[in-house]
Amino acid sequence: MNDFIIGTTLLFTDPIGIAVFIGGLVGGLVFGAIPGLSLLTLAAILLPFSAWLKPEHAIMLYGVIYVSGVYGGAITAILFNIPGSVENAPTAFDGYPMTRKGQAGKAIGFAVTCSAVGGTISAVLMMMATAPIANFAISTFGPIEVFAVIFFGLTVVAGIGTGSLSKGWLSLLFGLFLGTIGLDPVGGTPRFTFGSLYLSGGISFVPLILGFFAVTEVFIQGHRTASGTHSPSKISVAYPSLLEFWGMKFAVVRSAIIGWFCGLLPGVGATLAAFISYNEAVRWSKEPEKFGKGEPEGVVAAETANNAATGAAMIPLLALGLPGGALTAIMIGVFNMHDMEIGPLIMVEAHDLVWVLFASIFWASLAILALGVVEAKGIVHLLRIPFPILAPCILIFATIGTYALRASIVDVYVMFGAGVLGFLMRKTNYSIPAVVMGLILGQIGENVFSQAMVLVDYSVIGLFDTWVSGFFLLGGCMTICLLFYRRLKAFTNR
Amino acid sequence: MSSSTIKKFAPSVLWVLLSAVGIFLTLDYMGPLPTFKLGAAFWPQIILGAIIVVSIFQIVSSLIFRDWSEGERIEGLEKTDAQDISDQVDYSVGATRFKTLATFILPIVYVYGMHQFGFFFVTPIFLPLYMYVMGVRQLKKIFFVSVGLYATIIFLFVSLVYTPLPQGSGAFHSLNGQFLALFQ
Repeated sequence: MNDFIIGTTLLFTDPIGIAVFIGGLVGGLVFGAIPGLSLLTLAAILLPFSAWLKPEHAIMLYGVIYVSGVYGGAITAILFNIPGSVENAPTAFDGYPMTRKGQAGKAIGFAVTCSAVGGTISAVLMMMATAPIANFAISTFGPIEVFAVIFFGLTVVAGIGTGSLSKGWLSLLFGLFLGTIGLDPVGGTPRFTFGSLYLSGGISFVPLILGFFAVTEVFIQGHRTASGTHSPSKISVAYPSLLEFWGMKFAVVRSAIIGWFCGLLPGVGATLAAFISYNEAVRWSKEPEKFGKGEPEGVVAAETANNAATGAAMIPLLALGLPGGALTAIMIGVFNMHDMEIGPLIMVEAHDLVWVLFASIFWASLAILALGVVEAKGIVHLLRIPFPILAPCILIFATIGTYALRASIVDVYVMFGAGVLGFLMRKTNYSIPAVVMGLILGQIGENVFSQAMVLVDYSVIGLFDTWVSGFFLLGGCMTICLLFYRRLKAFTNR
Repeated sequence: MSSSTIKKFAPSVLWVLLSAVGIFLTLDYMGPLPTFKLGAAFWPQIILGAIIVVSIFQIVSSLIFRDWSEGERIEGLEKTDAQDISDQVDYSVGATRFKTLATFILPIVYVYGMHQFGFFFVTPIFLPLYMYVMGVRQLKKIFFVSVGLYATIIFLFVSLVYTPLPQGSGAFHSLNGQFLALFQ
């Protein structure tokens, strides 16, 4: 507790520290929310300038950007179906349908509060036991266990966003297939590339996500506008009631735990956290069929988890020097620029600095709540912009966001192609969330599967060797059987 | 076989055919790798095989249990996108068909134009045109929104964060480059 007070004092007694904190908070929110600008853009821009800051301010700035940026992407996902970054994609699954139903205020309210709760829980856990937790997580979760968790997560995806089980499965498998395009993760063999250099790099997440969500939505609403059947989203600033928040308590706790554990795993981070947490919300729900159609618990699960992952990502970074993702890797660069070697000794050698970082992450999570409540009341009015004016804006921002990624015009074509495909899929009742989850979890899944099979000497039984992997793999198999049984029962009851 | 039956089975048959083609393509690199015995084809083959299994299940189930596809539907769901999109549109009206097509084609033309002539020259044409296609008829509104948005994009992405934007090809590449230099 004393350390936390020291960290907080160091943070808020220096005017420059306060300015850096507020700048990071607002910058993260803005850069996280606008497609084309990302946390990494901001982090990269600020890197040279951070050399002039005091070490504790420089490190704190990156911690704050990380926390606020992950939340920032939820706003555009909810209001316009444009996820600011990949980890906000599951927020759009239910957030945007809520907006269409006239519940934008509620969706943003849940997102704000749950981001703050997830981030705060994560920050508290991070402060309590950084080193032992990092050691436990790294030693318990290897490729076998991560593959088992992904398998467990994927088994529930088929039921999301469509009324047909077989179309749900086909959507998921199609997403998994898209993830195989490019070089294979072990030997670098080109697969389905047809000699194209572009396809060798694999299909990037960002063009597909922007295409499936933002462009598809423009096409659908444009189609309705053309036929005179477009109805604008109803505007509502109604914030969720305390009772509604209380009803989400189990979802919040479950998602915070999932997000936190995913955040601990190097190379996995907030993206997997948000997707797995969303899947678990579906699995545990009494009415799973409502997900993908405007279920508040979907927003709660995704936003709690992706923010819970932020604090957790600092644990392997600080205790073991292992970055969980690109932003934490940049943080290593910031430490190095200030002549500090990251690793177990950092807690001793730069004790105060680490506690300034912990305190800033904690206070940034709480500040999101305050900023978010104000923002939720105001930002909803963006929906007053008529869709015919909004549509070209969405397309331009999506185009810039996609092109800026790798300066590739083919990415932009892929985005519009995904937009047309998404339109056709929605028209024929296939599930876009399932395709996106298949693509993202499939790429991570194949990578860890290859490592896992080598570890168990290609014996499938070997995958069940540890209790963690056995639990998740059996749980996944049971979920498939349960899904099939439910539909069979529904059929025989008719 | 009636046209409704063909329509019913066509998507499943298409899935099976495409997956079979996919599996055929993986035969080129089938076999163990020095560091991975299962080889590069294993993972895609499992996925494509699963697509075939689900598609065949779809066909067989609708043949054996005629109502299966209906039984699969979850009762009590609100109207799906599929119904929502197609129910309301009268395609027989020529203007509707033209506007719908323009909504889809214009962005594709925009990307092609951007590739050839660069972002800075094509965007000021695309913005007002798309707004017009979407039904905005007040020219003042179209003008001010286009200018405002274009200026915001230039300031935010070009002057502030140096985002790379398509510069076109040939003479347009250097023209776009000069435009960039003006604002950076």
